[in-house]
Amino acid sequence: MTLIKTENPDQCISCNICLTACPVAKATLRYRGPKLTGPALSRLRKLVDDEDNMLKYCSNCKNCERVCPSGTPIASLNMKARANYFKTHKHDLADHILSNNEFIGKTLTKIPFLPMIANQTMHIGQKLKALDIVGLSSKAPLPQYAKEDFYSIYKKYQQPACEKKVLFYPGCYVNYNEPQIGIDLIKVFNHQGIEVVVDPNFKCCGSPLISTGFLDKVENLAKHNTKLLKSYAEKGFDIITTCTTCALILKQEYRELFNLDETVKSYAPRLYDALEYLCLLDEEGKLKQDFKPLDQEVIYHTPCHLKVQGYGRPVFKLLPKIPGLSIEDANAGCCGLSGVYGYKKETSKIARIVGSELKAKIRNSKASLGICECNICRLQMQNGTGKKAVHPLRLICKSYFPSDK
Amino acid sequence: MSKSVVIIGGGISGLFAACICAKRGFKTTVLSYGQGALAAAGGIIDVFGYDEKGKLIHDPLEHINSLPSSHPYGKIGAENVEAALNTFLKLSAEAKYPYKGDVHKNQMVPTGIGTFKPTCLTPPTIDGDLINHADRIVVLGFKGLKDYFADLICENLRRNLPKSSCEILSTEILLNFESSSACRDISALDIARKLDTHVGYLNFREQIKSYVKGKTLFILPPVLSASPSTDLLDLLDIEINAKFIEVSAMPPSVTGYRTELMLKNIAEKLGVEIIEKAHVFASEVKDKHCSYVMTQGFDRIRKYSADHFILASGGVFGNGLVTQMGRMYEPIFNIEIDVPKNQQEWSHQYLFTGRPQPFATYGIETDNTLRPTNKGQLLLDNVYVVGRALAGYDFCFEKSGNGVAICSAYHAASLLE
Amino acid sequence: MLSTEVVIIGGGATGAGILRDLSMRGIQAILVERGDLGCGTSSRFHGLLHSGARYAVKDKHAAVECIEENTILRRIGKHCVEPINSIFIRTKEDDESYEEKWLKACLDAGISTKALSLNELFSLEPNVSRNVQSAYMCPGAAIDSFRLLWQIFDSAKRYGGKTITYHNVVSIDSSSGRVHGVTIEDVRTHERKKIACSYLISAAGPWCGEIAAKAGLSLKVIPSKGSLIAFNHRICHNVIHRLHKPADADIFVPHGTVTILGTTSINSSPDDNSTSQEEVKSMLEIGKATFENIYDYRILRVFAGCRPLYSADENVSGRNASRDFVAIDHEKDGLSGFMSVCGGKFTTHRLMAQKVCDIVAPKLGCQKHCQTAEIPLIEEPSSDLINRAKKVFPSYSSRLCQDRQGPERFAKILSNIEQNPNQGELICECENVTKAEIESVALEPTTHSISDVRRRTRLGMGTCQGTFCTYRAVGTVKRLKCDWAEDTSSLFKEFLEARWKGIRPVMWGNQMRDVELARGIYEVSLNINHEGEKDE
Repeated sequence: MTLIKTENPDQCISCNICLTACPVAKATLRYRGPKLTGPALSRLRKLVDDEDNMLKYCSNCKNCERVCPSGTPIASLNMKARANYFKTHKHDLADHILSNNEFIGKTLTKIPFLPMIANQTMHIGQKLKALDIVGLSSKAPLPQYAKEDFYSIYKKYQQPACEKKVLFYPGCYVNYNEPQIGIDLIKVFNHQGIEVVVDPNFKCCGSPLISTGFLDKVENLAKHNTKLLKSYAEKGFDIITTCTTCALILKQEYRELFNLDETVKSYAPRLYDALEYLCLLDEEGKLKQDFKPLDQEVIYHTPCHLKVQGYGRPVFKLLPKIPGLSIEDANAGCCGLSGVYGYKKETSKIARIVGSELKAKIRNSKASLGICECNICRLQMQNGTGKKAVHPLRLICKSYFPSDK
Repeated sequence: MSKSVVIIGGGISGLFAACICAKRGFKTTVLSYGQGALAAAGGIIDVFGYDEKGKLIHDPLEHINSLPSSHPYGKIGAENVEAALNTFLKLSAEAKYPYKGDVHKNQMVPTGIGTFKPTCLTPPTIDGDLINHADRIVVLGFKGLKDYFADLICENLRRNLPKSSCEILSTEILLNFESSSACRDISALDIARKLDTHVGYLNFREQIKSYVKGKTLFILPPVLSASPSTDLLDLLDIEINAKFIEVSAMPPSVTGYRTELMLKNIAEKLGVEIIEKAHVFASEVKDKHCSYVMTQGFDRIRKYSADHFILASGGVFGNGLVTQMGRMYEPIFNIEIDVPKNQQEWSHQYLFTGRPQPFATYGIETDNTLRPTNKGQLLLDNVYVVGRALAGYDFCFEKSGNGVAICSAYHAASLLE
Repeated sequence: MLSTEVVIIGGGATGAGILRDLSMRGIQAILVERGDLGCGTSSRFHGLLHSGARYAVKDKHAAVECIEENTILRRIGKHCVEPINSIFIRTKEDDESYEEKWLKACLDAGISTKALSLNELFSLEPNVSRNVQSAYMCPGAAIDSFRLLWQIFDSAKRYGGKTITYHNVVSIDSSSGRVHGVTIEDVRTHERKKIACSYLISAAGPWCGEIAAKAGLSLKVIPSKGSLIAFNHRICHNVIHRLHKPADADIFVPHGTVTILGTTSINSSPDDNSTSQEEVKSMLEIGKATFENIYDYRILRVFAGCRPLYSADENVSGRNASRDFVAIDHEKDGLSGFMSVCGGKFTTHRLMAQKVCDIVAPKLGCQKHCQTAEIPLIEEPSSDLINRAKKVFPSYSSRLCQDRQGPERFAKILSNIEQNPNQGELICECENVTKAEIESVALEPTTHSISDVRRRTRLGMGTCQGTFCTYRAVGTVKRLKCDWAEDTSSLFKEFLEARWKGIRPVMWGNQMRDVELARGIYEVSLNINHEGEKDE
């Protein structure tokens, strides 16, 4: 049995401030808003059962938690309610497909040429609206699968001898879709005299499964990952992530959803976002300052999942070090895609409305390139704007090593 | 290198203090945890409405001059209060969301139940004076809008404006909102966002046009834009030649939300770094001097050091003051507030009594520079307390909430060296 | 002048039960209540439908009555009873030897006790203290007293029973040693009227002594005050009892959306429903043995009620007095046609009523038997009604409305929403009460204030304690032009002050934050302390 932590809605004092920040509520009247769907209804759910059509609309973007003056875990209450809901209601096919990015990625990248075919097939499927049949949106930007996964590339990668080592948790996206981020991280960290260790035994953090209500499966992943992370923390490793969602789940949601407080607490103090880590090195005077000019204008979008982690925006401390680079702050709210949310047919329309402000900002910006830490946000930033979006590490890497391809 | 200040709290006092600090050249960081109370409270700036006997005050500044130093205004001084409010007026004008009002004069603005309340500075959408110049008042409702009762406002306005010869009526207009059990109830914010769209605006304008006869004033919920801008108001002024006053009732308050956005925009333009979801829980103090404060989220403790600290973490509502049975304390600097052990003594038998509530006046004692004291002894030499955490006033009773917030923020920020 | 066969004084469970019973036997009856239905002792308790297990060791008779009535109420009052269970837990602090005695006594009384392994217990009740030594499940349940009374009155009305609320009894009119009527006074208009009757039953609970005094009689009732704490959410799924000799603060009842902890037992006056900080403190300390994290749970409010314990012995008090009921025929005191009924328990109110009516009915020449145990209080709503409701009510609100209002009112509310979807707006977002339901109840003849609406709907009884819904409720009832809803400011104050009364003794933590929010809205934004005042 899944030991979902008991829901305690007591922190909420119904002030409704969350309604001002919820991008979904802004986009549609079909969502009751965070306070009602989360804390208010979790009191009633303990009393009565009912159909609950609004439950599927929370995108778990956590803007409600960001503005809540009471520290109520609103989105987590929603996710728990969703998981409980699916104990008595059936999942649709789209949930099963979307929640299995790791499985799909593993299968596809293990067989040569298959990713290419898969990418093609998905696009043809998208064009033919075949995706509609299984409840997937044909308008959402699909991730591309890489020819070779990050673990395989890593195995062959020769790192210079370094005194200090950190552990990198790449997450599924870096591993199967955009291994370049992992390579950039290795290069940038090696440049600081830090070796990057990767352990292929890690599993998906479970983000898509949380959103689709498969908390029992997430619990298994959580138990596995937390145990492994703990063992590295005990060995003195700092742990680095490049995905803001993975980080959030590893340090916050595992604790909020399951009874894993002690294990998470053992490694959470050592868990860093890659850019935050570089900032700390800088504060200690240990960051290499040999940034070469990059003559470029970029537009930066702050991922919602970064905003709730309470460490500000390290991008604005690091990227200004790159001569010639000009950074515009998009300041356009949530990208809307929110992982699987934007891919499910029934919520993809909302995702598009939510994301329209950001996309318009990017389209109308003088900048030629989007930057963002979050993988999913970047897909949305590229979708229909005619501009590419990259992880900020790409720019840092380019600035350190301009001669690299 | 410029000196630094860390401001704890991102509500009205924290953001305003940040603006002043940044303008004065300090490296300014705001640590905020959750949105401030503005979005719950509203954007009008009450300065001083009623004296301790509940008598209406006409000139708030004159009254402030007579206050003892136990009251925050008494410490700040009327001169600084005036400077603070005028600075606020100026900043808002620069941000193209000009507040209006006179620090020597309270204006009466209509409420969400058709009564009036005294206030001092108001956002562009709430000009109480307009009531005195209208021939015709139309209380506008919106079909399906929750938390607003046009007929109730209309009925009570008629009762409360007995000498007025102007015609008062109410009506309801219909915007295209989906309405079914699959939808949530509609809030003023939803309507404001709708009116921000071109189609929504046209629909609105066409429906209210026919009510304009002579000097017409519309009283309506806070729906004239979701952002701090007067574009909609200006457009309506040109296109249908009528005046508007917004009244608000239930949170989330659109007027407060706009003001918060305005202050945030100003602060960010001035180079203030705002770190959200930064829960400050402790501080490092040696010889009455704070060297850094600490935040803790789900991962680790982070330290923020500065030359000065401004505590703008709010009162009980904002968790700047924490209460337990028979106890109240400030959690970051561990300041115990002297309160009765028996909870019954914290309050009067009735909540609405026509007297200030004791519990509302509990807060941090400070000297005239707003630095915390205990029985007259200075506790911290580089920490300044602003806003609701200050002791000695019941903002609900005297109607002084946002006023004290702004003036104390200004006072503290001006004192930094 | 009004005239009837029987006048019943007191609109609590006992009075309601008697009204229904008499009416079903075909006897004309009018019930007079000084406030609203069920605003006294009958709503100021845990909301526990006893299984009898708590009394098994000390009072087998009471235990047997409880389990029998429990079974009956689950059947006839299906919509008022949450069919959960009671779990008795023995903690480290509790006497181990009591467990055996208790098991045997339950067996003797016919109360089932199912032993739970600790694993079973913690999976059923994850918040319960890990210090539990043993646990048993019994058939106790939660019962909504407001709703039960509301439905008993509805049921009695169908058989001709009448109710007059907000009237004080001024005098008991008698001549030649026989009661022939009562004089009552409207508490709002002070208008007086007489009701002629052949028989008078006082079911005034802790006020029985005062009523008897109006007839010049003396009756010893010990008002024993019990305080209770309401927590913001259901911290348990079943009723949790301590397995020990009955004592203070040893029962937690998940009741609707909240959990209620009680109680204390202090000799007091019948009108005393105050709770001191000391009581709260000691209840929480005791409660900690059941729920270790009790201090993490938010207290919404406290409330208290007075049990009407009757004792012939003047020195007996509190928990030592019998919880059994007595029916005193005042003929022995020289006044015929007058009976006082006091003592007893909410769980067994129906049986008390039956016993009283079995005595009274023959005196009035009626030989009919009691039928109250057979016929449900309200009819079941049709499946068509339920399915239609699911389509238009906001999630989680249709069944609650159905249970609260019964099929007739529910059908009206439903068609109201069907015709105008805006009527499905949630006035109370904490307890999911729609505008249509508020309007329907506000228009009932027995409703005279927003607090009355609250007792019939749970408006304002959730997290925000009226902070948001008061404004909405006032705006809504004003539109209906009810005669009691003229003055806006007093509508606000009546409701908010009633909520404040229960918050005031526990105003700390999040509840104090809520008070600040409420003052911000009503005092700052709406300025309800200063009515009008445009030109001062």
